[in-house]
Amino acid sequence: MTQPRLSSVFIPLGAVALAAAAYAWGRSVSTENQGDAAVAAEQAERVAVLERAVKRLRAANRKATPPSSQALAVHSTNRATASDPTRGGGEEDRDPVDGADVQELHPDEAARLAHQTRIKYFDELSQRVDTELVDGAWRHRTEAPLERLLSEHLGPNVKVSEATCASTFCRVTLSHPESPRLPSNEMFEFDLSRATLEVTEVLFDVRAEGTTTLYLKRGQAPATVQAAAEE
Amino acid sequence: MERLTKLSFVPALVLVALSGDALASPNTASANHCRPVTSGTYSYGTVGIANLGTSNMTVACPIPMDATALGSTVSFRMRVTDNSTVGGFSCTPYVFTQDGTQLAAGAAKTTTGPQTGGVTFSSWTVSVPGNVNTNMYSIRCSIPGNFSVINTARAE
Repeated sequence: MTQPRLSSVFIPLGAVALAAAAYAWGRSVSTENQGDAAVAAEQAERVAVLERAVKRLRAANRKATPPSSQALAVHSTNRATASDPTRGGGEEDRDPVDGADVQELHPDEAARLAHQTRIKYFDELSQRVDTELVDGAWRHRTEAPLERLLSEHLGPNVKVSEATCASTFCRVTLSHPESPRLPSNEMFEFDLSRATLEVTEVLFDVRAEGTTTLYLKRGQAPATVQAAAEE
Repeated sequence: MERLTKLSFVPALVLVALSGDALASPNTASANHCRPVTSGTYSYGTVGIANLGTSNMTVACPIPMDATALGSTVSFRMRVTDNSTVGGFSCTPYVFTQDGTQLAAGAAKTTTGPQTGGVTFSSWTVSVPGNVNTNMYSIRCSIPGNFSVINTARAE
């Protein structure tokens, strides 16, 4: 009688101790001192790893007690429409379309939900650009060069309709009526050239053919990576 | 009590993931998947693609995935060898839908002209709202000449 009770106490205690040790070890791992941008990038990667681990555990738990497909579709739909407009865009915790949920849906339904999620996300991001406090200095040194680089690299068939930089994102609307999408080779050249600006990721709102709205996230471009000595 | 015992391991597993990618689902692709998108002289090895010319050429390196949704933050990694003292690598990660529509692009990672040696591009993330298991992942690179090589590309 006593044996099962002891194990039911020690096992959870051991798990908590293991968790604390893992947490302490994870915290003690040093990162390269390459400034706030490198630390932020590494933190984002760690959070991404954590997110995937949680999804896998959730999926494993769900397999143990599988819900009805209808209930799952309703759950995924509700999650797809949920959002927190007060939080910043470009952050991983804003995506309500869980990869584990979507995998159990029909591919067409998954694509539709993903499209809905992206539309909602970009609508909120656009509102953020319109309403957040403007960093005048960043706007001054980013907006005009951004327009110039886009015009230089994307060619005469792509027009910059609007470019607005706030404090965390720039929004640029491009008009390209002669083609449904932006040219990929020229976009690559632009992506290399924008390293001179204080922007990192670019998100593409492509809900309408012939028009693309770019959301460029503010951040320090990565420093040049040094080669390691070959052994 | 048994359920409590089982659930008590959940925080431990989740926090262990903070220390590494033990529970991630990475996919490392040989750079033999890379294809040139500009003209150049190149060759494929057992693993990798090399630029045999004297100037940079551009390749696109898809990372095959089999119905895997990577979540709203995708981490990329690439291993290259810079053998040129004139040019350097410039690489950018991309995410596309299954119909080829571009969804996101990351920041460019580069090596300088004079430096040579092995380089790993890491700490390289891209945000993807509404990521699904039909999306595609690719890294586009400008490879310097003189037998500079891309070995592998990875997304997780």
